Amino acid sequence: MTLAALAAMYGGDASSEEDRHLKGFRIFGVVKETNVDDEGLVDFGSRYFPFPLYCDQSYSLYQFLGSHKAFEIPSLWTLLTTFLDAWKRISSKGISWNLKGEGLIKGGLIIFDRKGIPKYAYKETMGEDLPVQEIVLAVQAMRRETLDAGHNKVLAAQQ
Amino acid sequence: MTVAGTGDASGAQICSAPLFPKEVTRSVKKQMLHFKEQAAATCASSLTLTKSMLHDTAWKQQAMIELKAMEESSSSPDDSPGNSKVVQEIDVLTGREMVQNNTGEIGSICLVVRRPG
Repeated sequence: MTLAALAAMYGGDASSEEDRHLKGFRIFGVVKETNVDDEGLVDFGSRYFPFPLYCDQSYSLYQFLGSHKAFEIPSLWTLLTTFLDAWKRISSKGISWNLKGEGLIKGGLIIFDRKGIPKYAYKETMGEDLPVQEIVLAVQAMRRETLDAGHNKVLAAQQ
Repeated sequence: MTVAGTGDASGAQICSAPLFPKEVTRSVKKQMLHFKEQAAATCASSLTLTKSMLHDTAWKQQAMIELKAMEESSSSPDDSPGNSKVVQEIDVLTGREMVQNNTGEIGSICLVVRRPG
C-alpha cells in the first residue's frame, strides 16, 4: 500500500513537476502462490496494489533478496513483539489482513533500470514500513544517470 | 584554470568565449559524473545491492505467471446473487520478459510480496 500511495502522490500524475519522483518508472508485484488465499489476493490487487501481478512459484526473486525468514529462531517474545508491531502498523492504516499462505519468507523491493538490470534492492523488515525516502533517493539517482547518459550521447554525437 | 589575463573566476569577469581545452572540460565532466554516482550510492546506501545479488541471474530464466485478480458477480445454485473473487493465470513469462514488459522510460519497481492477504 505504501508503494501504491507513493506512486499516486509522487508519480507522473503528481500536481507539481518537482514532486514527480516516480515519473518514468512502472510498478509491478510478485507473489509466491495462488489457489491458497485468492480472496486476499483479489483484495490486495483491487484495493491496495493496482498494478500488474505475477506469481513467482520458484521463489527466485525471494532468493535474489536472500530468502530471509521472518523468524529465524522465534522466541515467544520475538513472535509477540513482531506480531504486535505489525498489527499496530496495519491497524493504524485501516488495512484488513489474514495469516493464510506462506508468510515466513520475507519479500522486499527491487528497482530495475530500463535495461532490466537490478540497481537497488530493499529486504523487508518485519513490522517496518518501506523506506520511502531511500526509494526516492534511489529513483532520483537513476533518473540522473539516465539523463547523464542521454546528455553524453548528445555530446558524443556533436564531437 | 581560470579566464586568461584576469586570474579571477568571478562571474563578472569571465569571458563568454570558451577558453578551456576540450580535454579539461571532458575530465571535469567525467569526475563530476563519478561524484554524482558516489553521492547517489551514499544517499541510498541501505538499498545498495549485495555481492550475491549482483551475481544472481537465476530469476531471469525462471517462470513468472501473469495473474489477473478480479471480482466476478455470480449466482449460487440457490439463485442468490453474490461476488466471487477469482484469480486467473493469463500467461507464463520468464523473469526477464516480466521486467521488460513493465519497464518505463527510466526503469521499474518490483514489489516482492511476502503475503498479500
